[in-house]
Amino acid sequence: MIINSLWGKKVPSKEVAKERLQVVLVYDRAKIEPKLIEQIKEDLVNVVSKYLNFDHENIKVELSNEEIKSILRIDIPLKD
Amino acid sequence: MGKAIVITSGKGGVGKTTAVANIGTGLALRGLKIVLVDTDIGLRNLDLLLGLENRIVYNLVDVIEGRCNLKQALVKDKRLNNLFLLPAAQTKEKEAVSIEQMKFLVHELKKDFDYVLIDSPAGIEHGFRTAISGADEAIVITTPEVSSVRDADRVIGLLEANGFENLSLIVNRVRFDMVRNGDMLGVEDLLEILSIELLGIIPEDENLIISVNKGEPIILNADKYRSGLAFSLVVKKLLGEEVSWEELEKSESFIEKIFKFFRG
Repeated sequence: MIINSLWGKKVPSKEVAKERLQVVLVYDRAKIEPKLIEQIKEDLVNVVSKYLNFDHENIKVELSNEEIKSILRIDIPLKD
Repeated sequence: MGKAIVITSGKGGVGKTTAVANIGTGLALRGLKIVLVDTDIGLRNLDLLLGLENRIVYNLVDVIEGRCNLKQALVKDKRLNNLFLLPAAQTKEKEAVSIEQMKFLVHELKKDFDYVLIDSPAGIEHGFRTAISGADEAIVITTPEVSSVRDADRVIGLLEANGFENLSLIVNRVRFDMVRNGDMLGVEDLLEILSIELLGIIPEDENLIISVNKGEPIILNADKYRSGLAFSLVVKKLLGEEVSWEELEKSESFIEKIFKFFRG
């Protein structure tokens, strides 16, 4: 308990559970393995770098649930 | 014609059979004519929870294979004469019953009973598909653990894909003290994650283990034990009556107070 208070505010474990569940259920519902997203990400990096100069580190590819549909969200921040 | 309701969960060991035994007993206490169907072939347990294990002569597979008629296979409850059990076969494989046969069986039972409660096996394979096939409505049961919630979500998806519209959720083994401390998913969290209607909340209760040991559904002691009270609220809600879950949380703290008082 002392250690916890030294580290400041503890995130309640139920919040961790909820977040993990919400992520895993997005994949389950879309019937997609998380590995597939990594592959899409790699392919995207290869394709887009042919045409544009962008920040490879900060490319974001993720599934999310919005209303009743699953959405594949891709963020590719361009370099100035 | 009565109504057929399947109780299912995906994950094993979350309390399906206990829920069927208690809801069935509770509905029978209200004077309704009830039959409980154990479809967990090869892993029969509903008989044990009702204390009827020594009274089984025929089973569901015997009916389907024509060794007896439906009425002969029904086991009458010890305490309530309007409650019956159709036991599963213990020595057969799950594949012994086809979807068509189950549909026919449930249809026949609905002619004679107000409610047909179907106890589904764990998993999402043949046994599950058979169990849900004759049902008009489905109850999904989960505990507040991530693995059980994930499996419940899978089952909800499959039920929806099979045309079920009236789905409702029972959350079993809730510890209100842990929820309050942020160490257990609360009922609201589960309803949000699974987007489903609430049918009931069953608190963790050691008296439930004792009642299972004895083969007496705890709802018979709804005045004494909080899980018994919780199941009686499920029955109330199922019958469309007004239910307040606060009563449950209060009952926990009240009993805790008594325990604390005696322990000093």
